[in-house]
Amino acid sequence: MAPEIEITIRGGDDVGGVRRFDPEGGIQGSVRITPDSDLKCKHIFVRARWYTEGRGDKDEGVGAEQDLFQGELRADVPAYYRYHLKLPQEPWSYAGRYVNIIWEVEASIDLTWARDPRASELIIMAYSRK
Amino acid sequence: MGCILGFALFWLGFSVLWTVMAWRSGAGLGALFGIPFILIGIVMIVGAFWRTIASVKVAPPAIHVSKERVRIGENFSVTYEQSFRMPSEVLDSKVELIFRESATYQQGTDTRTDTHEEVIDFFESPAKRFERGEKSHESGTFEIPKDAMHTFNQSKNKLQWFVRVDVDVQGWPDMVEEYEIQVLPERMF
Repeated sequence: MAPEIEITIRGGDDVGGVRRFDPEGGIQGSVRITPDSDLKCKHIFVRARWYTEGRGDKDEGVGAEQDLFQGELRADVPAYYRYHLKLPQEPWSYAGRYVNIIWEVEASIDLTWARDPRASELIIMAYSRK
Repeated sequence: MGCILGFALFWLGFSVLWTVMAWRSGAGLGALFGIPFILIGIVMIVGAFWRTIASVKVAPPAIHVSKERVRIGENFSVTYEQSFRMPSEVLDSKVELIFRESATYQQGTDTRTDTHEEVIDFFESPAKRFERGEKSHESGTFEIPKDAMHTFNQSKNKLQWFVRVDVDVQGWPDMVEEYEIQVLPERMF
């Protein structure tokens, strides 16, 4: 079993169930982690990251990152962290014929000698079309 | 051009050598098998020099843009000039603002790139005859649409903007020239 990771995103506009944020804007929220066993975390990171989808091979990058915690998490004890990330100027979210640019907020637990558990929530980083 | 020319010379040399050796060894009509390969080599060499050959009659179009870096919603002007070294009948000359998606991927051992282009705007000139030494000169203005995407240039995926000039001269290959514009992730409005 993996720890349960829940990402909450506040602010932005709702666009079809996904939160939209302006480039260079701030994005806030919280991460709740409920481990099913004791965990020695090198780091708990939250990132705003982008990647491409479509015909081509994947390009990806990290727009903003915050180190939320370093230390031990106890089994079945929920840990709650707030985050605040400043989004970069580019690349904007994009949907085209062969190239899509997808943004997400990702939380990951950096563990020693183990696969890092992670969870993510999609966001849109682009200016409003209104 | 260097790669094509190098490959073409190698291809042609090998084809000629094979055909001559086949002929000398008494292969007779069997040596004719090499002729299509020699022709392919000649076509590749002509292809490598095609631009140079084409410019004997018409000089490549020269593009000037007022701004190389533009913002979303911003206007910029484009001028293009072309000199004619021999009398030429221009059927059409078009200046286009192009948005191009390019996606590069690995397929087995091959690397492939697929592109999709959208002509955002254009202006064109009517058919006209130019005498030797004459110059054609056209200008216009383009705007990067307000809902457009900025330039995105990564190793496998690219979103690029170009000004492209395409000149169609009667009885002569099209002269096509592109000029890349950097569209910044900033808005003008």
